[in-house]
Amino acid sequence: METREIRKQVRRLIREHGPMTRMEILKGFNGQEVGSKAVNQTINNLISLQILFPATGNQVWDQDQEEILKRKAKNLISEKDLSRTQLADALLDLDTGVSKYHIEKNLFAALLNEPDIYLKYRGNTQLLTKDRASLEELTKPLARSYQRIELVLEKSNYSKREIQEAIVGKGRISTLHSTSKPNGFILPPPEKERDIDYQRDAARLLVIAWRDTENNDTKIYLEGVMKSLGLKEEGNVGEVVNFDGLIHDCNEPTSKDEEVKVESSGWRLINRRGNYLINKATVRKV
Amino acid sequence: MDKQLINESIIAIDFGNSFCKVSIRLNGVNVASTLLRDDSYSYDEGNFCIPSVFGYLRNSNRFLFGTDALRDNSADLEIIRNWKPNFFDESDQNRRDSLSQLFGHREGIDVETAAIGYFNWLRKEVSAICRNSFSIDDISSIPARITLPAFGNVANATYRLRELLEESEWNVDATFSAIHEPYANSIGVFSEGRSAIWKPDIVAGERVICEGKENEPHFGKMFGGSTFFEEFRNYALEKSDQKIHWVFVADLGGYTLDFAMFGFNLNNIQQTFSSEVKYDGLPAFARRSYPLGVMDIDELVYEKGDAISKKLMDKMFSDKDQLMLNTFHQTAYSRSQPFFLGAASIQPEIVNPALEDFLSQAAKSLDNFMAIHQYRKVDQMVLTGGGSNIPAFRQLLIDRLKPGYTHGAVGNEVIPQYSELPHDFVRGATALGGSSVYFEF
Repeated sequence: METREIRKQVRRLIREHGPMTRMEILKGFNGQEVGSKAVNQTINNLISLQILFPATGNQVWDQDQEEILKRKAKNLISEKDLSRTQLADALLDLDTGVSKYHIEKNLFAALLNEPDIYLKYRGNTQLLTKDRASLEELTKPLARSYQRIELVLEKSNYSKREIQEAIVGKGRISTLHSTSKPNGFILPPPEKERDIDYQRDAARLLVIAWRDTENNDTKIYLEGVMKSLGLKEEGNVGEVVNFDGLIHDCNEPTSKDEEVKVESSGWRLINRRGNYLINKATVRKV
Repeated sequence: MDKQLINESIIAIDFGNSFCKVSIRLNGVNVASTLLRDDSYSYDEGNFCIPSVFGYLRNSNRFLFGTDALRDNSADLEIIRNWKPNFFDESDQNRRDSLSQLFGHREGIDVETAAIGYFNWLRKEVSAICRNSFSIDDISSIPARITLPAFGNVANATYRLRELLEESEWNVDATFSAIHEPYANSIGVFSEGRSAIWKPDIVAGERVICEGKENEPHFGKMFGGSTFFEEFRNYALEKSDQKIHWVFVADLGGYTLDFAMFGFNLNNIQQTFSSEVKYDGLPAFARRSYPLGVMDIDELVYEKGDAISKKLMDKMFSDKDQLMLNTFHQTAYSRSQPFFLGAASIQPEIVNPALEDFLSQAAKSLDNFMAIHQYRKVDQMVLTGGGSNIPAFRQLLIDRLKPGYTHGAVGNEVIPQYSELPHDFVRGATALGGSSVYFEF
């Protein structure tokens, strides 16, 4: 039997029966002239191509069990906030075969990486929620601490910058609150195709110059011009984020979602054509 | 002509070397096609370029496709680009060997198997965009077709790609599973992505304009006031005795220069093209690809450059994201301005002679194409590809072919009888045209 035929047969069996073990798949060939090695090889290839996915109970399936769990979890969270235990209990009802430990530990962490899911606290319990907490709510404990030492700080004769640096870490303050501002005014957004082309080309030239210069003052000055032209900074310098090669540039080998620190920001041009990331943020491994 | 409308919705995939562009015409025949966009495709303007790459993680023996491959930067990840030409190589053996370095140690994995993985990934990607943008949960009921370059062994590639798409669980359009890129491109440009048939949409509540023609394309609405349609009208109104409207398509890319010519029979706007059909002894369709591209201009500039410009170009070539090189092309070739990097620069005095050399090679290719096929007249010209931004190249084609009308990218110079294409059409017209009702009959 040709590889293509084996491939089709494997996929047909799984489509009809749902998750299957390799042995069950082999039996599905019903005495047709095909060796177990060839079938296994095909299954492996389909898995590495992400057409089939490993499922619990040594089975393979044409659906990604993990994705199904994630999708279900997101639906549940869109209805109400969920703690780890509540999440695990709800998903175990799906009877996919995954363990409670896996849901509480791995899936919970994976959900936190989803863009529309946030973390909040109820007492000491962590909850996954669809609503981003207000800045006030998130910084309430910090604000309380600050009120307690406000008077002491005022009397201490330290500059604002020194105080801020002591809180967020030395060297991060200028980048957290970039000193560059648009120079003079922000140019009106271009409308005509040729004006958009011109804006893009000018933006690229400025980004190249910004990337090339080592002088910090020049960089800051250029940033002002770039912002005036409509460029937006991408990523906060000093912030630790999960690596995403689409928006991050790292000189060392880095796996997707590995923790990295933003070293210099990227630059994005937004106009009516869409958003164009001219320069990725430079990151390095934590 | 089969007057029965085939598809109410269709997906067209412009399968490119670097990017795929996907267009959808949804729930209707009197609607415009839409390019599928996603914010994550922000490495290019317009957010509709889906990378045609795949990656192989050696250690975990796993493939990654498209953006998933670009999101990773693992040490054992090999990114494979430019695998599309493998489908157009006349020699089956070459095709299989071309990726042997990567796949040699993996029994049963070759470029076709990897392509199944890619198209499978692309289907999921397109599904996700359709879900988010149009609330379509399942695209399996929507037929899909692919556009292919007009070079190499197209018949063989069409057959094989069709099989691969089917195996990747695309619902491949039974009638037109594949269309020539320049053909789809022309229709995309002339119709600006619009589709229309005589039968009115129920929602629109229009009355039937012409009984018995309900299921025929409404070319007037589709092609509007385009010069292309004007020629058909003039012929029908006996204002012209020219029977064939010759459309020349030039695509100057990074590595290749493609020419194609279509003879639209003004007696029959709806036709498929074949080199077998002849008008006054000239083939209704011809295409040829020449190994000449923008990268050749770069090489010529490098050769002619002084030590400073050579150093600057080395820096550009080693730039990972090609930002500098793209900007250099735009500044030096398209705008004829000096390109500065700090104190160093590449001046027009170096670029212009290189451009002239390139243009003389392009002129030879053009003369060769026209001579082989004996074409004498171009009524309309469509310029695509990054190279169409280069004014001197544009001018060369206009001077030599003297087309009645030209469509191309926005330029700085004023060209008579020239229509500037918006960005979406420069890059996306092939996909938009591919999903037109024009190909439904």
